[in-house]
Amino acid sequence: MNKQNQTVAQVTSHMAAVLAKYLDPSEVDELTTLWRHQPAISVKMMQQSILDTTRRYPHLKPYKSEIRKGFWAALYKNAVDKETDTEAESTTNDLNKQQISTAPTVSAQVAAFYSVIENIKSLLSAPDDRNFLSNLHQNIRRERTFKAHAIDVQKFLYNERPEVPDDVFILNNLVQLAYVCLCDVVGPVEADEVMYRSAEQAKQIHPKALVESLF
Amino acid sequence: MYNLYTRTNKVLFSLLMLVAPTLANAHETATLTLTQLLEYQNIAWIIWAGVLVFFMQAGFALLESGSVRAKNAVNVMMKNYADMCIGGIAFYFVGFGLMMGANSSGFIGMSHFAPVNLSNFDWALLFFQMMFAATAVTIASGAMAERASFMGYAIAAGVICLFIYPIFASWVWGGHFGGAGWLAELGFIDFAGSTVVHSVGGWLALAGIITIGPRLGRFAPDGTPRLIAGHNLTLLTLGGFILWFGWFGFNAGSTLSITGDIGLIVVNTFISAISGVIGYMILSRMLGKAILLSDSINASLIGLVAITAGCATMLPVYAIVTGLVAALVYVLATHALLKLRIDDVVSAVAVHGFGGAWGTLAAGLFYRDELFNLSRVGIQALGVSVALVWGLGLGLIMYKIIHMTLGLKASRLHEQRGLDYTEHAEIGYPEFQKQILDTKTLAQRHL
Repeated sequence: MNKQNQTVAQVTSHMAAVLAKYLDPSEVDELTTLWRHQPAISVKMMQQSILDTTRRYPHLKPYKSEIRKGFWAALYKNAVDKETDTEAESTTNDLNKQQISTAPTVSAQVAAFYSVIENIKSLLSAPDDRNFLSNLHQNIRRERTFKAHAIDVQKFLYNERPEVPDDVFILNNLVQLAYVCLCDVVGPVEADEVMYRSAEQAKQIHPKALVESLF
Repeated sequence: MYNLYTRTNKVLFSLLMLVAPTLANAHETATLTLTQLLEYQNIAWIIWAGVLVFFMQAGFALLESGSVRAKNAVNVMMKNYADMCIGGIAFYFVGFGLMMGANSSGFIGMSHFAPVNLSNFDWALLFFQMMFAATAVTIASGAMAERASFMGYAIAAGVICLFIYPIFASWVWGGHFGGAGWLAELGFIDFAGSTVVHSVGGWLALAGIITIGPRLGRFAPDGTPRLIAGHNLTLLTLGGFILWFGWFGFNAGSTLSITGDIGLIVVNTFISAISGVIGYMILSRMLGKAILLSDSINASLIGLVAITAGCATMLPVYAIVTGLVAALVYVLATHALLKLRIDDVVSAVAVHGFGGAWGTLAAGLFYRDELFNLSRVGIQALGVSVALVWGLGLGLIMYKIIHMTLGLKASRLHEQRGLDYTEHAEIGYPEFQKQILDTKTLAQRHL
C-alpha cells in the first residue's frame, strides 16, 4: 500500500466514524467503500463525499453542516497525525499537486488562514469558487496593502496553498477582501452565511481567538 | 353624635380652604378674552401636533431598523436617536434664528438665535419647528444605513440642522419675526413641507448615498441589483403605522391654529396615503408582480409625503389623484435609482425626494378654486428645482468634506462584522444572532 492510499484509507475511516452517528454500520460501509477507491484526498473528493451521503440518505440533509464539519475535522486530524509521522520518520512529503497539502510547515495563524479560505472554497459551487478566487486574485493585485507581497491565491484553485506573509494585519485584510469578493460572487446575504460557516469550521481545528483575529 | 357633627364641620372647612384658591383662579380665568383663550388653545394644539411629529422619530427608527440586516439594527436605531438630539440642539442655537428670525432680505433670518425670551406661542412654534428639522435630518439615516460611519453621520446631522435645512425653510416659511422668504413672496405653496422637509431631506439622502456608494454586494459586477432583505418586516410595518399616525400631527399641526381647516387636512392626509397603497397594488398587478409589504408601506408614505404640500388647499378628490400618481412616481423612481446603481436601503430618495417634488407640483396643479393654473405650477416647479439644487448640491459638498476628513463610509471590515458590533459594542439580538466574533468581550468596551 503506497502513501496516498494509506492517507485515503485513514481519512475515510475517520469519516466513517463521523457517519456512524447517523447511519447503520452496513450503510456506512457502503459509502466508505466507494471513497476508499479514490486515488487521493482532495477538496473535490471531500465535497463529493458530502454530496454522496446526503443524496443517498436524504434524511441526513438537516445534518449536512455537522457532517461537513466532521469530515473536515477528519481530514485535519489525519494531517496532524501525518505531520507527527513525518517528523518521526524524517521522510519527505511526496504528495502530488492534486492533493491537499496536509503538512503545515507554517505558523498557526497562516494555517488558520488557509483553513478559512479552504472552508470558503468548500462551501461554494465550482463556478462560484473559480469566480471567487480569480476575483480575489485581481483585487489583491490592485490593493496597495498587498503591493509588497506576491500572493497567488489562485493556487487554491489547484488545491495548493500560496505563500502568504505571516502577518495578522495582512491576513485580516485578505479575509476582508475575500468577503468583498464573496459579496460580488454570491451576494451579501449568502456571503455572511459563508463567512460565518467558514469561521465556525476553522474554529473546530484552530484556536478560537486565532481564527477571530482574521475576521 | 356631637363628635360626628364637629368632625364633619372640620372636614368641610378644610375642603373650603383647599377649594378657595381654585375658585379665585376660576374667577380670573373667566376674565380671559376670547382671543387669549384661543391663543392658549392654539399653543396646546401646536404642542400636541409637535409631540405627534416627535413620535414619527419612533416610526422612522422602527421602519429603518426593520429594513436592515440584524447586524446593523442597533446602529440604525442609534442614528435615529442621535440625529434628533444633535439636530435638535443645533436647531435651537442657530437653526431657529436662521429660519424664523427677522428676514428682511428674504434669504436668511437674522435674529432669535439661541432664544431665551419668547412668548408662549413662540416657544411652542420653536418646539414644533424643531421637530420638523429633526424629521428632515432623519430621512438620510435610512437611505445610508448599513455602511455609513456613526460619527460622520452624526456630524452631518448637526450641519443639516445648523444651516442647510433652516436656510431653505426660511425661504418658504421664514419671517415669523419680520419679513418673508423669497419663495413665499413669489407665491410658492408648501403647506406642511413636501419640499421644505421631505424633498430637502430626500435630496440630502441622495447626496449621502452617492458619496458612500452601495453596500458591499448590493449590485452584481454586471449591475444587477441583489436583494438584501430587511431582518424584520414586523418592525417595518409598525414603523409605517407610527409614521402615518404622526403625519396627522405633521399636516394638521401646520395650521398653527386650531381654527384652521384641520378636518379637511386630516381627511386629505389619510385619503392620499390609502390612494398611494391602492395605486401601488394596481400597478403591481398590472405589471404581473407580487404585492410587497415593504413597497405597500412605502407607497403609503409617498402618498403622505405628496399630500403634505397641498393638504390644506385641495379637495379630497385631488388628494386621491395625488396619492395614485405618487405610487407611480415611487415605482419609477425606485427603478431609476437601481438602474443607476444607487443603493437606497429604505427608498427614502424615492419616497421623500421624488414624492415631495410631485406633491409640491400637485399642490399647484390642484389648488382649490384655481385648478391647473400654469403660472402657479411654474412657481412650484421653481421651488422644487431650487430644493434639488440646494439639498443635493450642498449635501454633496458636506458629505464629501466629511468623507475626506473624518470618514463617512464605514470600512469594509466594519461592514462585514456589522456596525452594531464595531461601532456600538451592542448586538441587536444577542441570543439569536450568528456572530463570528465572541460577543462576551463587548462589555469591556462599555463605559
